[in-house]
Amino acid sequence: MYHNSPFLSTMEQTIIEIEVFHGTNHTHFTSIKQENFKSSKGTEHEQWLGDGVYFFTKGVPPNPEETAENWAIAEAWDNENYRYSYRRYCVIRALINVDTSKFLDLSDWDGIETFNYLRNLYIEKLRQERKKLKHGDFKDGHIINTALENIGLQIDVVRGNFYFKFRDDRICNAQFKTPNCTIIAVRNLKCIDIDSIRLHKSNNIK
Amino acid sequence: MKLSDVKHKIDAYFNSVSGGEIVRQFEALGYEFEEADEHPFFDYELNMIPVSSVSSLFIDTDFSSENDDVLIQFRHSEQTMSIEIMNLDNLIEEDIFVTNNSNLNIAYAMAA
Repeated sequence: MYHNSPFLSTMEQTIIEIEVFHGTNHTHFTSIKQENFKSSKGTEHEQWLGDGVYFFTKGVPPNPEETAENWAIAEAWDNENYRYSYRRYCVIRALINVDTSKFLDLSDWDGIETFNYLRNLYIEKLRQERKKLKHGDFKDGHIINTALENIGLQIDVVRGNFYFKFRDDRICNAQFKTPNCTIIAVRNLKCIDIDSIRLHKSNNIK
Repeated sequence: MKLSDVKHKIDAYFNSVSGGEIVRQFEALGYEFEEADEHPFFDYELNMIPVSSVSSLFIDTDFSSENDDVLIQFRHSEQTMSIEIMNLDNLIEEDIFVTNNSNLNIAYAMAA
């Protein structure tokens, strides 16, 4: 695991604290600071870790604040209108606290083993029905969302290593498989320490 | 989260839910499905036997597309090997191979 600091341990519960970074439009900072982050649902998240508030965290690479900055810059570009939708971006730093029993960590074998077990059972059911996908691929986030909704697993936070397309990759239309970032999806917003939210960096896109 | 902590809950769910329900859940998410091949490869065991050990071998199978049992008969002589596929004592297909290589293996698949 990366950058976890267990600070409370009982027979049944271990809480870990994780430092996370979020890159976004600078104008969002004030409302986030006052009202906390807002969870989002959408097609973009389905391919990653499912619903939740997304952050970058230490892992791949070890400097997530730079990854968050690159993300804020990449996301600013409006590809339909060929212009930046915002010029001033920010990187917000926060701390999250999560009970390890409700933390699905896909950057660690324990989490991967759980996810693969789930995935294989879904595929086995489909095979028994003699069904195969007509087109496309299954999205990891759908497996996680479905497990929560139908099986009743309690998952507050999910972490995993992924490949994201940042600005240069998008310009060059490059696509790779090797992960270039570690991301965290916070599904239970109570895990975010709202007092820890602060502006880490603010700058203009050059 | 460790698998050992949640496995009982996952197993309980999958033991009670039908395959059709799982299909419906994914269809609700926008996935589209079609019929998988009638006899996917993973339904079969692949077996290998050296041809030199076969003078006459009968294998009962149940992998014909008509769901009838099929009898496969291998015969091997010094120069030839024949394969007869029979269904209810009727010869469906026969192939004769000329070989003088007794080190060859015969591969056959049977329903697992």
